[in-house]
Amino acid sequence: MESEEEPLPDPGEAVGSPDEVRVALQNLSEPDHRRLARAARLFMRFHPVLAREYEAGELLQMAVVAALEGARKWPKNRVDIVKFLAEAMRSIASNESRKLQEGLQAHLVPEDEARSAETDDARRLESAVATTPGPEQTLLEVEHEAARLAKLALLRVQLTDDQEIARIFELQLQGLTKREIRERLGMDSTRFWTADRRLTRRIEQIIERLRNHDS
Amino acid sequence: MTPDAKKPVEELLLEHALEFILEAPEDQLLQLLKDSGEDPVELAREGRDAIAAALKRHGQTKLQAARREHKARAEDLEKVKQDLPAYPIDKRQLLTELLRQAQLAGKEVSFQNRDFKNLAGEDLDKAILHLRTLLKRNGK
Repeated sequence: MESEEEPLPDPGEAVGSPDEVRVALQNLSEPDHRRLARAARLFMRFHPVLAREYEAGELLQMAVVAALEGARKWPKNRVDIVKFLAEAMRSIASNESRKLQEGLQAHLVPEDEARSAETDDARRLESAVATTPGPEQTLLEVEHEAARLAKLALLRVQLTDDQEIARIFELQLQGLTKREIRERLGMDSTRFWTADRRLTRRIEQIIERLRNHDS
Repeated sequence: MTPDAKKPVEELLLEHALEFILEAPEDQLLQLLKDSGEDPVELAREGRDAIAAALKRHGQTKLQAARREHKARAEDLEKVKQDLPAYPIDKRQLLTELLRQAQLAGKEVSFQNRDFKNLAGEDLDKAILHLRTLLKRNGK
């Protein structure tokens, strides 16, 4: 399934040509390279199945090749290239991980095939959603939601020792942006980002534990 | 992080971590790397190398595609050349026929103010090849 966060272009929206993608890639700075590589490592931690088959650098390569080939379109006026590539990696990692879990051979190049499969999946999903759920489906949904709430409760417990990061996390759950959270908590930029870093570090450790446990 | 009551907890966590990686000030990202025991120089090199490898791989794919197209065109041209008549009278007759086909296809054909009756054999060959290519493209 494609990540709903992936910044797909709207119909008629300007997308970067392969040449524009190449120029943007050539103009990336060292911090940009670092952020992209770090994002790739994050996705590998999130998908341990994928990490057994590929290096983080290979995931970044897949995203770049997909962008250059036009298999993934860059909405150049709305999203910067670093965010676009990060979200492309996220989507590719999710697809490839799913394929590996299903026992299919993951492959580097035919991302367009994967997108076609995503479309089929989406259609099946839409048709499933369109029908009224039966009692089994309803029960499953209730169980999923209960499991989700239990995980959230456990997570909250793990953040109680640091009230600042616990508050940030709660406000993020409510859908506030980082700027809004900073303003709501009356923090200056340095204090906010320092707390957010502590939260991120904690979250990455939790992700690693959860994913290793799941796999 | 967008509000979504049904989003799996793991996805919410992933979003948080990704947002930090993409948006945090540089000094905070460097501190996160230090906290997690990662080398920032090595990490930047890893990113740069991956992008360079992808650009190279894409360049090679494009080059191979261009070579395949060039080869196909050269083979087409060779095939058309083999079909050229040997004598000027036959060449002119063929050219007349091709001009008629081109006009039927709605093409305006010009020989740059030259009367094709006076064209040399080599020029006739070129004109025939051009017209055949034009008609072939038009037929696609």
